[in-house]
Formats: sequence, structure tokens, C-alpha cells
Amino acid sequence: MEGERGVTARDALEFLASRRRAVLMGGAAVILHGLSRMTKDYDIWLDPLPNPDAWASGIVELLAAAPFLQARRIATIATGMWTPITGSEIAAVGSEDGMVRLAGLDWPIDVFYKPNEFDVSDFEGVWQRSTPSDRGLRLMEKIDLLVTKQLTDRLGDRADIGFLTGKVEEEYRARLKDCSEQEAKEMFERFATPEIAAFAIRESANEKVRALALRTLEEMRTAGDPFAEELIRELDPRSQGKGLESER
Amino acid sequence: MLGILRGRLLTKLLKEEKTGTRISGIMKPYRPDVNEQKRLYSLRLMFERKRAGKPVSPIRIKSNSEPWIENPRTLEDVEYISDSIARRAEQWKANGA
Repeated sequence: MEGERGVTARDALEFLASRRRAVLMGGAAVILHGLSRMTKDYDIWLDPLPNPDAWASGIVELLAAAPFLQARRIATIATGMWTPITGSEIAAVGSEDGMVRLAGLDWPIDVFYKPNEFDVSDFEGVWQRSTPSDRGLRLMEKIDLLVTKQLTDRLGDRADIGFLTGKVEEEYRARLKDCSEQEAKEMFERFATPEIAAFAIRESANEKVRALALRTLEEMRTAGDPFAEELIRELDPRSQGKGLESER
Repeated sequence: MLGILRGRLLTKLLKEEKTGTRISGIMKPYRPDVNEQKRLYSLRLMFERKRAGKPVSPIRIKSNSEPWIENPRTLEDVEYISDSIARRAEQWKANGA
């Protein structure tokens, strides 16, 4: 299905990506990482640097080229309505709400200035870690996607987190068996689950990696993670959750 | 000498900050949310209690589902997958599922 005048959301995304660096995130990105699920819109993080006006410039240009499109401000709980905004308001609204919605296409596009859990200054790193994708967009990397979903309490995000976590754990398992301490450190600094830390304790050939994994697992236990507590007990039943003496 | 180097570095960082070319030094880490972990753990305990005493079947049925598209690459693929799932769900609902 196409929007007015045959312009699709895909065309609009291509236009935006030709004007400013754009990273695809949200449900569409999760689908491209391999999870079959529904989504109702596109989410992109448009380069927010060096300021909101620069971020908004590509959107303003798009609105001028396709006047049937409408920029909207996120619905508030009180009204439940997305409020139409003018081109001159986009920069201010983006910087205040973190995003604006583009309506009038077959699929709405949510354009982010600052996604959940990220700062504007994180864009460069996110861009570097993303990979080339369709229509000039880049696909947000799995761990960065997880970060955006870390503190949301939406049912759909739980499924995404389960899927993405599983994929990252699979990649980590392949690397952790014989990686260096430095590599493991960098990996754990970005991503760690109790299961992956326990895997490294069991499987790593490097004593220092095993010790690092144990410290990570103990940190999780201290934070109250029940899986970490159980895994420490399983790894050394004698420790009764006090840690693995042999790896200290 | 050290002061000059420090000054140059500061100038470079400020310049890069302004133009937005500096890669953010701190990458946001991902750790599972502890409350969510507790919820999952209690779910697991609940299932274990329900299963208590019952022998575990040695037969393990592997996933036999086929993906809508094997390796989605394009935005068209994304829309095809999403629309297909939505359409199939509607069909099931219409059939009284």
C-alpha cells in the first residue's frame, strides 16, 4: 500500500538518509536481525549533531518536497493525540521530546533526536557500529538495540530482548573460548548476562578470562540477579553462593 | 612540552566535539534488568513446581517453523514479514481461533 501520490515510507526514509546519516532501529531493525514479528512503523535515529537545527534540516527539506506529509508531536497521556507541528517547530520539539513522527505515508516514521538510554553524543559510536542496510540507511547493531530497549516495560520489547540477547550470546560463545583477557574485558564491558559469564567460567581456556567472568557474575549477584546467584552455586556447590575460590 | 601536548589534545577534542566527529568514549553497556530477571526466575520456579515429581519426557520436539523470509535484507522484506503475520493473525481470528 502506498501513501498519497505514490510516495512510500521507504522513499521518505531514502530521502532522509540521503540528507543526513540515518540509523534504522526499533521493530524494523529487529526484523532485519532475524526475528519475524509485526511492526507498525519505522524508527530511525537521524544524525543529531552538531545541534537540533541540523538534525531537523533533513526533515524540513522532506516536508517541503512532500507537502502532504505531516510532522507530529508525540501523544501525551492526557490527550492520547499526536499534535501536528510546523516545520519551524521540529528542532525544538525533537530536542524536547527526543523525537517527532512523520505521518501521511503508508507507514508512519518516528524520527529520533535522542532515543531512550542514549545521549546525542552517542550517535557517532552507534553509527560506527551499525552496518550498511537498505535505501542508504544503516542497521543499528544488536547490543545498541538492546540498550534502547533496556528499561522499557513493553511486552513486545521483552520478546525483542529475548531474541537479541540469544543472538549476542551465540556470538559471544564462539569468541569467549579462546579470546584474550583484553578482548573479553571489552566484550563484558558492552554486554554480559549471567549465562554468558558462567559459560566463560566453564569454557574459557584463559585463566584471566575465567576470573573476569567470575567477577562479572558476582557483580550481578550483588545487584540481586537470581540467575547469577544460582549459577554461582551450581559452578561450585561448596561455595553456597560465596564465590569460586579456585578462580579468585 | 607536556603542557603543549595537553593543549593540542584539548583543542582537537573541542574541535571534534563541535563538528560531531568524535566517537563517544563511553559505550552504553547492556546488562539484563534485575527486576525482569527476578520475574523470569519466579516464572521458572513456578513451572518447576508444577512439574514436580513428573518425569521429563526424553522426546524433544525441535522447532519446525519456517521463516517468512530466510534472510531479510530490505525494507520491503520487513513490510512483507510484518504484513504477513498481521494477515495470518486476522485469518485465525476470523476463523474463530
